Amino acid sequence: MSNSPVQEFTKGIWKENPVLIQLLGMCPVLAVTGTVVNGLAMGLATSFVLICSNIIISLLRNFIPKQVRIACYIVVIATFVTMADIFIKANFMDISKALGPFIPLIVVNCLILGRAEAFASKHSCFKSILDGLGMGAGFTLGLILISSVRELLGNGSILGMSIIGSWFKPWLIMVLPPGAFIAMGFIVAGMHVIKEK
Amino acid sequence: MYNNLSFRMIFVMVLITAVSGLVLSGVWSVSVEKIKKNETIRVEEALYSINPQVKSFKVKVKNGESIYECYDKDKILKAYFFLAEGNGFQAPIKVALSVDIDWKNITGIRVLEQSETPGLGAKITEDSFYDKFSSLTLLEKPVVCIKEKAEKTNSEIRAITAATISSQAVVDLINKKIKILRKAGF
Repeated sequence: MSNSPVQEFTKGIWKENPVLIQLLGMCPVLAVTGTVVNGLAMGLATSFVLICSNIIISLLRNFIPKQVRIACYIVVIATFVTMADIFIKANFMDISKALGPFIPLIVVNCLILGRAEAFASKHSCFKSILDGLGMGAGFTLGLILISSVRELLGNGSILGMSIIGSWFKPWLIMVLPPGAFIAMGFIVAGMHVIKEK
Repeated sequence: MYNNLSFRMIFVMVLITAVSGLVLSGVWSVSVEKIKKNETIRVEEALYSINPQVKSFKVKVKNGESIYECYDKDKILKAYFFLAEGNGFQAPIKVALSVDIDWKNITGIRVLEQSETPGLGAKITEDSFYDKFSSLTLLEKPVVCIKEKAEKTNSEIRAITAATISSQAVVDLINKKIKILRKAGF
């Protein structure tokens, strides 16, 4: 059974959303979603790496011997991660400081290696691009959703702009690590309620 | 057959890592200047925003400690400016600090780098915290961080609610740096 090109793209956003359904790459999801800006930057950086590595790996899929494929994938992924890290450092100093080690840690995000192994190594370049775009968009949207909830409840703002008036006492726990788990839990639960209807 | 496969595995891996290394060194050599420049831009921005009257500066090194001498448009020494670093709640905090030429008052502070908790310790980067430092008196005594409702003397800082550790960390690293600089002969 093979998906149509449109399905290859949309499955990452809804049916197989990496954050909310597959629960892949939870480390950055929980760690950097304190503010929407950080969540968005993380999502975009991960999407960039995911799309680029999907392209290269699908192009090289008949060239790489299967015994050393994982090592080769990691080298390809690490190359793009380092490129993204250097780019962010050169152009978005504040975001680089805020995300700290989590940009280099995209290398070990299981979402990217997972897509390389499960999809890009078995499909054409075109389909792998669609898969990367869809999964990247799904990952970014998931991060934006969680970080919006956390920033709104924990700081009363979205993207640094105050949304709720000063009467609102921020729930500080939402910007602390436990808040990540709480927000995540409720969002994933809500997602399943919607899905099963 | 076996040898053939080993050769192919080695060949592919060497090729991929070589290309990767080549690409990365290219990207790095293009960006390295910009990354370095970002650092100096941040420091200079802090210097000019603390001391709006300052038009130029000169870096002076004494006993291994460096300080920025800030001059106004008539080339008159107006303030000293320096960087200080210390441990915050989880990660190092880096601040830029400016004092007047008699080392009597702090004229301003900017936090350059921090990874304090968003919404709590990260409030050390807000203007309301910076304002507490402007015209703070040094009086040969270290700055004190207090938890009471209001500052009693001119060398006290009221800690940010729910961010006492971060506030204290900033005060400590300032005191330490000032002591080191005075010892170095500034």
